[in-house]
Amino acid sequence: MKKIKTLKYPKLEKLLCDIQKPGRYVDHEIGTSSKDPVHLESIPGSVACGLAFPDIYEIGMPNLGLQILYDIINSRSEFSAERIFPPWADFEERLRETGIRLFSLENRIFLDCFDIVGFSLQHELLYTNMLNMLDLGKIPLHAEKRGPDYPLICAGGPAMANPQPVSAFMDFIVIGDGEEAIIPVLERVGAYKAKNRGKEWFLKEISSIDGVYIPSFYKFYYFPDGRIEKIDPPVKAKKAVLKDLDSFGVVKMPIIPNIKPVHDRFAVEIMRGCARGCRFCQAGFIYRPVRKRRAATLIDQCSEGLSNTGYDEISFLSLSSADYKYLNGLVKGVLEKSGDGRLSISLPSLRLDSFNISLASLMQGGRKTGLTFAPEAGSQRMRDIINKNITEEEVMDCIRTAFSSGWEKVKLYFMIGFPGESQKDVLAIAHLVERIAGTARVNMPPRKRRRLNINVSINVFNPKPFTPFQWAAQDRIEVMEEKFKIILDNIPKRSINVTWSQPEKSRLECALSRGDTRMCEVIEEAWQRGAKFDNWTDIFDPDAWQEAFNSRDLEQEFYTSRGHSLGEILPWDNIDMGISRDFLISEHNRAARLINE
Amino acid sequence: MPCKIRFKFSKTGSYKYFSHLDIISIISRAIRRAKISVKYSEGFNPKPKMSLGPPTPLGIESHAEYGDIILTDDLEPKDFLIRLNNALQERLKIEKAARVLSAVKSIMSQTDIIKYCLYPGSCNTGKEKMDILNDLPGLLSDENGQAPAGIYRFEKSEDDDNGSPVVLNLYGYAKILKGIESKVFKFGEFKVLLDKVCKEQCIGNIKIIKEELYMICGERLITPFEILS
Repeated sequence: MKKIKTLKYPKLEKLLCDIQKPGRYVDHEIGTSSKDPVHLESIPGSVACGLAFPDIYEIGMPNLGLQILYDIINSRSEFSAERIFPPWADFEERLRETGIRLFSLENRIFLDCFDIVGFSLQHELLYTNMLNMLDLGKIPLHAEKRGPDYPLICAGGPAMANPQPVSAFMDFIVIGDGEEAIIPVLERVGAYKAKNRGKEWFLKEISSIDGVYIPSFYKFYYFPDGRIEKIDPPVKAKKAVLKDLDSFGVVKMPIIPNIKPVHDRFAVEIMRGCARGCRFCQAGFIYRPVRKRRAATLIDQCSEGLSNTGYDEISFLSLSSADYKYLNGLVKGVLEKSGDGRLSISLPSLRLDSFNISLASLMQGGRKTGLTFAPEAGSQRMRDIINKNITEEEVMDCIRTAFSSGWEKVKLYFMIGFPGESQKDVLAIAHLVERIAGTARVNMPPRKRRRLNINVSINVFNPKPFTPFQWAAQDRIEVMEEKFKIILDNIPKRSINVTWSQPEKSRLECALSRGDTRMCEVIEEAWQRGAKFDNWTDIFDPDAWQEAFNSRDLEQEFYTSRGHSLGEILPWDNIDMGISRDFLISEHNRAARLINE
Repeated sequence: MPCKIRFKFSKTGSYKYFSHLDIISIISRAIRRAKISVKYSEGFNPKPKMSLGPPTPLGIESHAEYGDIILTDDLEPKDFLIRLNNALQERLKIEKAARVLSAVKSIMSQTDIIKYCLYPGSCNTGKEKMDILNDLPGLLSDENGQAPAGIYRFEKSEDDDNGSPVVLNLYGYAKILKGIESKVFKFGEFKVLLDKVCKEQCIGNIKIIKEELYMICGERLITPFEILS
């Protein structure tokens, strides 16, 4: 490990001349708690930990996982966590021309001076940003090329349900809940530093910690046709499960961004996991079992957090908020304690069958935050196949409630490309939206009707690992485009705004989420051809990616659209996500029966 | 009883990198943390009734940020200042606060002039450099001796109270004034010109700080607090 070197503030000021949104790169917001690097180095067993979020500040800061890990690490006197975000294009150019390495926000520690850097990987389109950050930190991308002079590099987050596409770059990966794994890992990093032992010693030490997956311990063998022949050794890495969410309190003093983030509110996770079992939803499966925070202590923690931060909006996060039994009581309690009636409540994941009158009236007080619902499918047949058990009657009840309670805007999420989908099902989406608009309009006071705003977002189904649909095929691009056209041609224009995902982007995301170890080279090649910020529509470069796949003699559709057989070895088969294969197969078969009816 | 308070604050260090809207959010959250009760606007999207003075260019420190705020309950300006500062970081500091009548016009509408002070950078202290800096108003004027657009007054000043040599006091028009042939002072354009001249003359960084806001009152310039008396 290197001695800690930092970028001095006057130098940063010079670098920031004429840079867009310089506030992204400056430090010391209220709520930061890292230690002074000089002081840290004098503590025995100390570890300087870089928390890297591979998207810009405004997107990374609202991420609750980042705040949670930061809080846990900094609560220990011998550990210090600092944040690193990738620079935007203009600042990256500035850094590259001046030869200055990427640095953290708090004390501007250069990336390669950390003892360990952990990447939070929320989705697959962040992989090239991650490589770019390593490169900007002058850190070798491949784990095997990094000796003891470089930081340990690891990753976690939902995209790591299938860690294979980034396995070559990672010393280790944490799968599942990070809270309980992080401290034991850092303790061993401290020992690794102090004892001057090799990396192999360190990896062996952490291999017994729940949730730790070590890519170098596995070897993948491939048939000539590209399918996996064998994964050796036939040992599964178990995901980490935090049994009791309340063993870590709500982060009551989070870092408060000074520049406006994409979500500007106090966030509280009320529940982790989901019991509904919608067959396409990876989050619903990988975050099991369902765990809830206790309502009694939650109200006080929320109030304390609001008081500490001064936010006028609180967001209750979970996969399905209305399944939190005490939701009404929680909302009521927090509103009462806030006193001034100015608090806005945001419930981003309400199912359409649970938005009821009492909840609506509770949310009336503050600014009306947006309402978002995800019917996903337009026809009852399709909803049954994906196991999203809501009826049209329930959908309309919900819309009636919302629009008669004063809401004027709603966002609806739909997905095309589910297994067994017919043209009729696709058309049903357009018709359902039309009926929703009609119901909404009728329930609004006449003078407000022209303010009706329905935003429809159409996404493409992606057969994600650890779901009953994980063997299914994603629609090919031509089919995606055909289906978008059917919807667009049949949705009325008045008050309705439709957006849809870029087909190449959806295909890439699918390929990456189902990739094997050979995907590492593709990602590196794409990055070398300039791919980064792949999630940004204007910057996404499908050609760079296609060329990258071509250069490795691989096809995206091999991963996305051939439909895997039930007997095939899948790249994520050496991960134990706590879901039995038999269960997934039986759900798959249930869906198949409904498709064939 | 509601009351209206006018306050002056400084924005220094890394806070110079935050936009006008960011600063409004930062202050709004601090007000809530300080448990100061603000009046809100009516309507679909209620907002705190607070308005700030003219925005400062990004990257410029300021000792002359102003705001007016309406509170729902009467509060001693002194207490307002202390409580709010306790909830804020040092780099955003309330320097002064006073009660004002609710009918008082907004600072933005009343500001005629913005004063900037230009300070020599640390590499500009040799005699030769100081001479060039003293000449800066001339160097920045065009071949006809015309000062750059939008400038009301442009002069080398006495040393300020702290003894550090101020190079220039620049008074720029914040708006187009009736009866005076004035253009609005465009900071961005001025900065480009200044950088060009500095490069030609091999002068290093000149630090610019926004120092005060004024309203033209006859022959005098008066500040947003002096207006009240």
